[in-house]
Amino acid sequence: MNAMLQEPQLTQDHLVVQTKDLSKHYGKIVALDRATFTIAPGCTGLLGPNGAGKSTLIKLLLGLLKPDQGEATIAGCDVRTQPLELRKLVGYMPEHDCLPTDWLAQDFVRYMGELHGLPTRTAIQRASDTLYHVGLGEERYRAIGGFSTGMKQRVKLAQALVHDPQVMLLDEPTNGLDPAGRDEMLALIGRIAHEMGINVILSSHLLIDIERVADSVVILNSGRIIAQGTLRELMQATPAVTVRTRETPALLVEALHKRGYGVEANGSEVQVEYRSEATYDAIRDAAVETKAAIVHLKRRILSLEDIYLAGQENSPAQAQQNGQPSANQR
Amino acid sequence: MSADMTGTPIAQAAMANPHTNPSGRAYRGQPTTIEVQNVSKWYGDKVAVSDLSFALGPGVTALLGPNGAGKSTTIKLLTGLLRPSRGQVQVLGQSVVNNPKLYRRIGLVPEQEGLYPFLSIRQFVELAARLHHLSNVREAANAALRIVELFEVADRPLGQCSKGMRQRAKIAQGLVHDPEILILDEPLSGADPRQRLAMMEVFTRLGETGKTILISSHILYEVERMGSNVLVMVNGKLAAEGDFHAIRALMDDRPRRVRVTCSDPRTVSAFLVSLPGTRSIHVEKDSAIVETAAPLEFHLAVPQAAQSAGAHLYGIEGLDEDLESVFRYLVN
Amino acid sequence: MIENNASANARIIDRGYQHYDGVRLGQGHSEWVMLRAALLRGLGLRRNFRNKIMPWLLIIIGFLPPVVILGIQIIVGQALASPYARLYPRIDVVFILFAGLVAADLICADRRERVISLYFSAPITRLLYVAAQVIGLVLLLLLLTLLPYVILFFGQALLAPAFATFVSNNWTDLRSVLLGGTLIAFFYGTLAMAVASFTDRRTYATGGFLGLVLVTGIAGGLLASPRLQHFSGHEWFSLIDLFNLPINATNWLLGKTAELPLDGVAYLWGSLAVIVISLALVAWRYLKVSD
Repeated sequence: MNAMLQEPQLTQDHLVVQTKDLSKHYGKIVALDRATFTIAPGCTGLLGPNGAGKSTLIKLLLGLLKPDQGEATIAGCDVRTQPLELRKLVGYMPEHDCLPTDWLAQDFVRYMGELHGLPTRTAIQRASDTLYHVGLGEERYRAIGGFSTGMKQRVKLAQALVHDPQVMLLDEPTNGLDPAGRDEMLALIGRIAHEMGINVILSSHLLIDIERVADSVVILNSGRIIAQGTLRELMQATPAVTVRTRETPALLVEALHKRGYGVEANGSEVQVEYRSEATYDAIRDAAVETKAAIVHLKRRILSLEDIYLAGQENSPAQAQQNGQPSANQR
Repeated sequence: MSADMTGTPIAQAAMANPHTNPSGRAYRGQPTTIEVQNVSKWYGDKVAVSDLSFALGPGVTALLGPNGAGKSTTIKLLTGLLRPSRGQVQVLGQSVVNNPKLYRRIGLVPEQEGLYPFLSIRQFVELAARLHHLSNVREAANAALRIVELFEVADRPLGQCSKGMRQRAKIAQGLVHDPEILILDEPLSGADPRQRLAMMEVFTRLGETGKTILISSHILYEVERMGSNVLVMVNGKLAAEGDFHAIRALMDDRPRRVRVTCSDPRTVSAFLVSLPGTRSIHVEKDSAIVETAAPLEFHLAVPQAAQSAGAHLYGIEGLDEDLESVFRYLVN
Repeated sequence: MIENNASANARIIDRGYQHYDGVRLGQGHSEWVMLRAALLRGLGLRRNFRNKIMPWLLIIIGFLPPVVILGIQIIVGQALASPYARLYPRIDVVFILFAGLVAADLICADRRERVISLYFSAPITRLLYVAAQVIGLVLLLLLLTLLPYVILFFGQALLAPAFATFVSNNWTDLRSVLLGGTLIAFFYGTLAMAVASFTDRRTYATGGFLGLVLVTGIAGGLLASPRLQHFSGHEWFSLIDLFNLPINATNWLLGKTAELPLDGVAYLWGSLAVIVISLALVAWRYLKVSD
């Protein structure tokens, strides 16, 4: 799977982020190397291994660093010449702990709103509303120091949202959350991107989260963009149908062979060669014939993990990566 | 030795029942390595864990639960960092409290940070090796560093390392003395997708070689890939134990939800509704979501129903078979 | 509130997320907001009780001099002429404690808890952020270094037989107090900020500042002592006495130069130099700090 650079579908005005040859180095270390990509409205995942340049990219997009080369615009503002304007329109939820422990949640979110240009009255109202929308009710009048991880993540999200940004940059937003918390946070992010109409750029190592919430992805490695595109285009259907049966599939496999389909068996899971829609009928009829109980039937599509790993393998950096894990333990 | 019954649904279900797994029982046909009997721990009025009883053996077991359920306390109790207020914890047949010799056989990878920033990764791992009185400190450290893929960068000070690297350094120090028991608290925190898969592979392999691995994690879809054995805690108590598929099977008050995607959901549904196990059908544009209390019959019936309806059958998908769903049912 | 779903008899009001299309204010507003936050924080307001104790205690002590002097004057019936030069050296430990505590409180926690990365991703410049903290601290210090003595002046004026005469006779004192008090506030404020900008921990910042001031005070005092006459020019060591430097300058302004080893104006220049260097250090630290 080679670099899948998509042509921007939308006009200049509609793109949330646009970069061209964006480069940044720290001494001899190249953090970003002529990165060129676009981010369309909606929810976009930013992926890549540790050290691929994601944090540098985020800092550049926030106007906190100046690029050494190349250009970038976010929310219509140039990162080099308009850092202050762009920060009015961008909300940022960092990965690390960053909340003051002795402020009340409501006060802090209001303060962040004010710093982003909201008049005080408006900031007070919006802070209260935003905290409500992220799921913090009465707790907003308590000091942040006493909050659980889940509540703190919500406050972090609220302060990024309070000033009604055009774009939100979320860095590992589900960090530290238990399964219920993760679920709620992802649902919230989905609502923000798809119902509230705020563009979201989401950086995460959990590909399953990105699959759930994002419309497109940008994948980095070693400072370069190695893939970008919508999930619909990237997560293509493979020529295989996955079938899992309750008992051993041997009879089903035989029935499919008889109908002329190639089958790859792996325990109780089989991959049936997909030729056309007729494949589904063949499976159905073979199941009826052999009285097979099918617990799972689905056309196999590439997962984001498949795409990500394939991209990493082909990347030039793979040769320099740490070696394979040691084969035995002693 | 009696015939190996551990694979049958009955045995699995029995093991899933938190009330009937007495100590000394064979765990998947092998002796248990950790036994917890009626353990409670409280701090004044606050009860951290209450009346825990379970057994662990070789292989990978996941320790799951909402934040505040008592998982960290349990881990500390298992490693002897805390003494139970009541009950006892037996590891490898011995009490784990005040038993330094036993620590040589247990590895702990805690969640908290607190690493010395001035030590290099190698120094940190070698320190752990020395603390365990290993004779071949350097080789052991190198082996551990290779497993976590930090060998090439081992001389970098921890203070300059990313969170993911520090996490892997912690895993290395937990492995360096080749313990029989390895307990890990959110070990993949900060790791990128490829590193996560590599580490999961390592843990699975270690489990297959007979080590007892207990992993506490919130990322259920990853935990699922390392094994089906779980310990679920809620509010300081054990809520369920065993193979999560078997746990699901025990939840007969929750009918299975299955999505059937086909070209004519309505007609296919008409056939399916006549099955005695069907509790409800929800018809959508291209699929039907069926709740059934008799899943085996259901799965047998679907292809036939599609054939009879003359519909193309595009998909059959269980909606609440995965660990996330089981977990959600247990916690709510 | 957007109303949709309305009929003749009923309506459902949309309580969903509302966008904001109103005005977005500029840096001036942000600076004011940060300054206000610094002032509130320094006084321990909008936080739990523990944070209020020290600052308010120091403020109360700081206001004791006018209360005591005016009180004695009322009771004894006799005015104490120009008491400022005697008051400042005794009360300046309160200024130092306040500066050390509040400077640490204002800037260390933001770095330690890494809130600074949120602030710097807001549309404010680093300079604006630092300026708000410094100005906030100086304003609070002025509460201690200036206000009580202005009150004392006008209190004495009111107690004097003729208000206008007293004022016109003693207005040089008032002028010196205004200048000196401001100098003292800037001096301790910027110096404490400079020390605090080098560490993330409040205790180190406060302790470091107190230590610095004490050590230089002792060393300067000893080295400039008349007893050490072996080498000439030793009086210049009195300039390193950071404990008393601005006080000495103020005493010179007040005309009380008897005890000063050096010509008073040296202390004024010394104080100004320290202020400039401190500000430069703070600015340098914050230009460098990573998020």
